Formats: sequence, C-alpha cells, structure tokens
Amino acid sequence: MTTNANDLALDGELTIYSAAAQRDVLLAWSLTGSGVVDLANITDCDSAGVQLLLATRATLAKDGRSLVLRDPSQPVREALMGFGLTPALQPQGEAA
Amino acid sequence: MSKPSSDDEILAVAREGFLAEAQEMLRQFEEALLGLESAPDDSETLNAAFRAAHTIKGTAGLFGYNRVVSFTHEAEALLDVLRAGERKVDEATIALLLQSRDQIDALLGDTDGEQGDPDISARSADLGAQLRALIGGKAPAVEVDGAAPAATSDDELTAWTIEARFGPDALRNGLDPLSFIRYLEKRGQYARMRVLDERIPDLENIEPESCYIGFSTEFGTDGGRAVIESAFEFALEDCELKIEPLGQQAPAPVSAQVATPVVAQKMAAVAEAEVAEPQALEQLDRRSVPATAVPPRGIAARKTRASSACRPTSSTA
Repeated sequence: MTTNANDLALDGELTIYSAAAQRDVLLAWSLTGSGVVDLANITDCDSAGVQLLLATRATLAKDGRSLVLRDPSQPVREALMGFGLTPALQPQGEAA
Repeated sequence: MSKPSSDDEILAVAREGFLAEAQEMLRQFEEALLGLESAPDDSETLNAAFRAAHTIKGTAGLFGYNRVVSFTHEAEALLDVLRAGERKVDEATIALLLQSRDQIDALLGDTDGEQGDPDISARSADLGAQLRALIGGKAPAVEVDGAAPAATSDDELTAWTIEARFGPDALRNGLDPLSFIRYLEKRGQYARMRVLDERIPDLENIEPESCYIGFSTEFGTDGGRAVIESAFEFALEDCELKIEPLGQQAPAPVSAQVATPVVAQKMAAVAEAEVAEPQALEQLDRRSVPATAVPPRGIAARKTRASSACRPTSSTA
C-alpha cells in the first residue's frame, strides 16, 4: 500500500479520553481524505475507539468510499477482535 | 461488595418465574399425554410431551433442584425410547407417565433441603423403577450428586445467547463494553461474537463520549446463567441485556439431547460471583474516566439499585 498525501496517520490513544479530539481530526479529514487511516502508532483502544472507527466507515460509505485501516497496532486489533471484527472491520469468520 | 439480600431477592423472583413456567410445562405435558390416548402414533404430540419434560429438567438443573432433575430425566428417557419407536405407546405407558407428571409436580413443591420428604422420595424411587422397567434398562439414571460418569465436558457447558446494548452514558460512567467482553472471556467460551453497530451515527453526528455500541454472542459456561448475570449486575442501568438459552427452542435430534445444566448450582455460582465481581470493578477502575465523569459513589449506588430494580430479561424457553 503506497502512502498518499490524503492518507491519515493517527497517533496517541483511541479511547474515551481522546475520542473527541480524534473525531475532529477524522471528520475534517473525511471531507477529502483517501479513506486510508494509518493506526500503527495507536497506543490504546477501547469501545469509544472502535465505535469512532465504525462512525468513520459510515461517513465514508455515504459517498461510496471505503475505510481502510492500515497497519493497526496491537491494541487496535485486540479491541476489534473483542467485538468479533477483523482488522478490515469485517465480522470474523464463523467457525463451524 | 455483594448484597446478599438482593441476591436472595433475585433468586426468589427467578424461582417464582421457574415454578410458574414449570406448571405451564406440566399442563402441556399432561395435555400431550391425554392426546396420545386417542392418537398413540402422533409423533408431534409425543415430541410435545418430551419437550415439556426436557424444559422442566433443564431449568430445574439451573436452580440445583436435583431431585426434580433426576426423576424428570427418567420420564424423559422413556419418552425418548417411545420417540425412537423402540417401544409402542400403550395404555400402561401413558398411565405411568401421567403418574410421573403428578410426581414431578410433587417434587416441585419439595425442593427445600438435602433429602426432601421421605414419602415423596420413596415414590420417586418406585416410579423410577417402573419407568426403567419399561425402558428395558436402556437409559441409565443421570447422576446429579456425584460425578456424572457419562458426562463429557461438553455436557457440562451450558450454552446461551447474550445480547448487550449499552446506554449513552455507559462510557462516561466507566462501563466499557469491551471490559465486559474480556471479563466473560475468562469464564466461558464465545462463538459468533458480533458487534451491534446499528445505533452508531456518522462522524458528523456522533458524540464521541456517548456509547452506541453493543454486542451479541453465543456463550458457553459451566456456571450457568448466574455467571453472565453477575458480570452485568452493576451495569444494568446502562445496559439492555438479553440472555437466552441457546437452542432450547428447537430440540436437537434424539441422540443429541444433552446440555442439561446439571452442574449449574445457582447458589454456588452466586457465591463464586462474589469473589469474581471486584475484579470487574477493578478492571474498570484501572482505566477510570476523568474524575468529573464518575462520582466515586456512582457505581456503588447504581449497583444497589440495579440489583433489585432491574433484572435481565428472563427467558421462558
């Protein structure tokens, strides 16, 4: 995946503490952004973070864009996994 | 940390619900048996009788009513043989099952104490022997008090579906849905965990500190419903919770009828929860939200009220 000027790299926490600030960043970016968010430097993620990512996906979907999470850090992957989501924000496969 | 009186209240209400449900099941059981008198080959009617007995047995197990479980199991075993066509439904069979219905009713009124009424117990033994005689020794009695020799670990798991939707203030109150997911993870097994995201607005409309997210999952635990309820006990004001037995609505084929929650001693599970609960609080406290958002007495006060006022949706399956 090549880096594009319209990609967004978030850092710090994706939690209740930082959700308001991260939401402002995401909202501003969503107007013209590529849909690619780099999450390699996210240090912590809770339910507020997960729902913020899902809100971002909903915003992008309104004009047909997709959200791509690039290189989600361990805390992000674990939070998504807790809710049964893959790093691509899809439901985890059902084991028979 | 726990409130024994509230636990007792919850149990008392749950027991009442169970007894009411059991009466309804007994009514269906009897109705089906009477139906069989005129239509002994009607498999639907036979299934209805089986389901009623099975439901009584399963729920009685949750409350640790072992005498009800043991005896109902014997009646169920005979019905199983009839369903499999290994024995014909005749008058004698129906008469014995009708007597069994009365015996289950008597046992439901005699659930206190270790031993129970000696006359009722003697009757259980007598009818049990007659039921086994008709079965031809095919179904060994279920062991409820000691080790269950035939039980595999799967038998001891009780499967539930959980649906949890959190209210707008949950996160601000320090209740993170993920904490509940991780807490329960240590006490059982998930399958088909799904995020409930239909309430999440887009970026423009979201209030980032409000909670919109929830989850649904299947959950297997050997601690019964109490394990799940106790995990959510102090969060009920901020959470819509649905707990339902998995698959009891549609009984599996004869050979797969297991899943009787024999080990789910409700009292034992509540006792265990008393030990386990502070961990959940600690887990949340560790990452507690800013002091303004969570008055320290908030959780304690909420817990007290939640214990008595809000009970999870109880199921009647």
